[in-house]
Amino acid sequence: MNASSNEYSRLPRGMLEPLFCLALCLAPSAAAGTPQASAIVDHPSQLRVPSLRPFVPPPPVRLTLKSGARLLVIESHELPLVDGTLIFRRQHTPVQSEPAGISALLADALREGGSRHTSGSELDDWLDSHAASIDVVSTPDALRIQFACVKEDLGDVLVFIGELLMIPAYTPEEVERSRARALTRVAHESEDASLLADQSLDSLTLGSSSPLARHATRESLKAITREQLVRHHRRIIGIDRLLVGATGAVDPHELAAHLDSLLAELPAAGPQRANSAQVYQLPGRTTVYLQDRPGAAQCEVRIAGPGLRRLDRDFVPLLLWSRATGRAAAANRMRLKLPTELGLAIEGQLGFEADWSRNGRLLGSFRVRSDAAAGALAAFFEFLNDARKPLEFAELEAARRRMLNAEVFQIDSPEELLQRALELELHGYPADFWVQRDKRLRALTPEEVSGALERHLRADRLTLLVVGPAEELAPALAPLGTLVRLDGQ
Amino acid sequence: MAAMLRERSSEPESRLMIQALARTALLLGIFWASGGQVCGQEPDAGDERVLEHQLENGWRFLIYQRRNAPTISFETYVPVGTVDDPPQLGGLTLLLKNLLFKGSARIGTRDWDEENAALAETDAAHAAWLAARQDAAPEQLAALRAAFEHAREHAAKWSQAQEWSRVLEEAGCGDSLRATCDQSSTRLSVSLPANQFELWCWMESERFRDPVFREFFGEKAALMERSQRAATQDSEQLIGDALRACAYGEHVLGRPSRGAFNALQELDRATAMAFFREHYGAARMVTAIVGDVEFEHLIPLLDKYFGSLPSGPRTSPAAHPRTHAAGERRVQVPFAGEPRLWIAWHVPGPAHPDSAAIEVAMRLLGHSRSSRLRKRIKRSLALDSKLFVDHNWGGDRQQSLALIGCALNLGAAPERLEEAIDEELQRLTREGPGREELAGVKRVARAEYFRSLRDNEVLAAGLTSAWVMSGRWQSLFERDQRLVAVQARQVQRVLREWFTQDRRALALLAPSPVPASAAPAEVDQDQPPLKR
Repeated sequence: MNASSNEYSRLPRGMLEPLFCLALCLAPSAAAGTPQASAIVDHPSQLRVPSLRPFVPPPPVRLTLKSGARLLVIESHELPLVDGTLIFRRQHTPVQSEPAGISALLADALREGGSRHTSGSELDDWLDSHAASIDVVSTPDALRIQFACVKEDLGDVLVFIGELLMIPAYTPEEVERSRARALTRVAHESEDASLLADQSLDSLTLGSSSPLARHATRESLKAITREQLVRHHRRIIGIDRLLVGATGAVDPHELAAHLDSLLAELPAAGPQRANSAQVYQLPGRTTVYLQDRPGAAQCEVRIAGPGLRRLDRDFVPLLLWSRATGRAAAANRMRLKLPTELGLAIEGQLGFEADWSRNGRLLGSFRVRSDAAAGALAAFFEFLNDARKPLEFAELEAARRRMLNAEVFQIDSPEELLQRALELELHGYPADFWVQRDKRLRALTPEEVSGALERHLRADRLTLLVVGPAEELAPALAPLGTLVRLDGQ
Repeated sequence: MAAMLRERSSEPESRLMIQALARTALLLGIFWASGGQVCGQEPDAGDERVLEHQLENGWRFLIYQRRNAPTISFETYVPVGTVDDPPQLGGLTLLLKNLLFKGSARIGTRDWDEENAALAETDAAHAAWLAARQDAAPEQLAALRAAFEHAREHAAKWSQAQEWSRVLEEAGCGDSLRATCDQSSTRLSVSLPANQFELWCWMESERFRDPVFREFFGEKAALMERSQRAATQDSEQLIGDALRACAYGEHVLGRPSRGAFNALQELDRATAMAFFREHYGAARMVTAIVGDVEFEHLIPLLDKYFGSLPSGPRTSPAAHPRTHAAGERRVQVPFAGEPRLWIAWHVPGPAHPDSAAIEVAMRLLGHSRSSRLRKRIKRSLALDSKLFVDHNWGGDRQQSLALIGCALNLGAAPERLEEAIDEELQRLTREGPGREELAGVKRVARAEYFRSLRDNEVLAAGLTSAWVMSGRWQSLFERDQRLVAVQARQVQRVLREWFTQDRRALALLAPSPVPASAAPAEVDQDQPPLKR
């Protein structure tokens, strides 16, 4: 029953090339495809696992529109349905002069308000009667207009989207309704301790003036005018920012021609100002911030340190370390140590975040009962020190198997394939990024993981944030680092 | 550009989606999937197939072949939910759902003989501590508690409870390993690369053949803590429990969905195992397998691994007694966070012939952006709220609740929202839906349905649900036709029949004092119903 001797889990080297030719598992068996009449084995490690049949999903068709915008299409004619996204990229992040919350407000007001030809309500009626949908979503790196429809309705849906982009309504009434919804959301978010902790951590690690750390407030939302929304629309929605993806029953060249015609008059938004949105604020020594929530039964705890971009050579070893240590697994080191071995009622994770357009962070987060927080934090720090010790080969192999064997689920549908391809395109990553990542993942040695960890895990210069009852927690936190109370006491 | 924008088709209603969706259904192989063992045509590479395979012990497998990608999704449906919790042990089925991930005598242990002995010692120490709680001196009680904790720690040294999940994760299940437990069912699901089929057989059969409830006391304490937190802080949990209790009173369906958080304090491992042996037999199991499978390879493996499991009681769980409409009931729960208003009507369960018309009625009222209620409340700035509907909430096969729920905007008055719901309901009852309105609702329902079937996990869940609700998996694919057949007059009839004031329950989650128009109701069926 020694876990490290699992025959089924041996990873065959040299497989998985090229990408999408999945033959992942693991100890190819002569018994593949043969009904087995033998007795049930005592342990799954004794099972013989056949090879996975080769699977080569179609790569996206990549076209360039007349405007220079890129179009990625994965055809799939199983169903007469089309899904797609128009992405207006933001070079880096929201510029600092934007009022906090304006992009989310714009997304809501644009969709709900409709265009000067078709009001939001009329648009709803049409879409519902045709079982179609159009949604507008704002994220820090892009504004996305997502649609879904039956293939016969694609032309009409695109025309509606064109109207939203070129002749949006932003009627005063709809803007006020959107504002009311946003204010409600902000009011309710202030009750959410987990969200508060995340937002405070952004300020502490990126600086309060960072665009990524500026979150909508009641005041910022109230101050946004309709004119600002219209200006913001022109600033972020331009043909020069466009990337389009579609999947389903659609011909790529027909779609390209349609988009060329439809969006020919969409003006350019102009060059974007680059900014240094993610300059990590590394403290001189580990600093503990305490945000008071008197009487809270639960504490929210966040631990942060600097991280890397996905393209950095050290990112993959750090990712593998994260999977082995504290992310996305039932049997990672953190779970085995804190809840299982020490019996601490901790729900959380630890690892290096993956980010596309900027450096990620080392991020630990967990929630714990306030009366048990002091012990949990001490145990966590002890665990963090232990976690810096080199991974054993078996741990590394297990984490590697978890990642590579699950890879097929990342590419088993056209929608997922397209999403992956769009992310690479949006952030300027090479098209063979996943091939290279998996190659690197398969070849990593424990020494490389340790080396990357040594270079990037600054355990003596962490930022620790605890949101909970300050009076009870302060004495226990002081030994962990310089203590700063965010309520000024 | 303007010319292009105006080129939009002017005949949206004439170009119905039915044709397209019929093709969709055909492509999905749905229309041929009707009855028999292997349905429709002879097996043919590239086509999808459904196979129903039942073992002698009663375990039923519903297998859907879909060879798009080399993956398989599994869902095992156990018809045991929180309403089956024994009195005084609310939460037991939730606990068992978690304990089914702890392994067996063969997996999850460092040394089974040593661990088994240590677990027995832990059970004995727990019993001694409990027995002494009534009249032992504090020091003696503390010593017994310490002995119990010591025994737990000793047993934990032999445990490798995470091995069960670890094996599946390393096989590639990603984050698909899940278990849920609601009022009437426990569902265990996972998706794996297709070459791991036999591994799934080994693991799934093992946890029902010989589960070991290791880490029992820690899991129990964690569950009670989570339940306590949910019962006080989770707004959806709070209002859901309040509405269930309000609507069903003392009936089992009125119990909190997570059980009473302190109910398991005295539960021991033997009691939990006895309940498991009684209720989780093979005869009650239904498993759906959807994905890249070959029937001729799969069936022998299912027979080999699952065929020897004990059958258990072959009878279906007893139907819960029907509730009766006892007049409108209302309850308000003080809550500092986001206010919510949920209104529900007692309606028949999903197996009833009226179920499709009830679903259509609820969709007309509040499912999509252009539905009557959403449009109505959107027009009012002070009432612009997040609204949802569910035609089958909080019930069982026989009886259910049709639910309209709202999270209220800042400044929105719940009375006005309730008034709007009343008026739209009456208007729809009186006038019935318009022809195009009804057609639109059906199209949206069909499109959602077909889109959902693209996902193996969703299809697996749909197959098991269909079988449990109707005794036929085919009903999953017939649901669409039942919705299409609903006529406007049927919608009016079900609204008149089921959506009456005396069948209604209302729960309000709000920080403010109870409005004069919404007096609180004690949750007690013996009390006379409160009228506004």
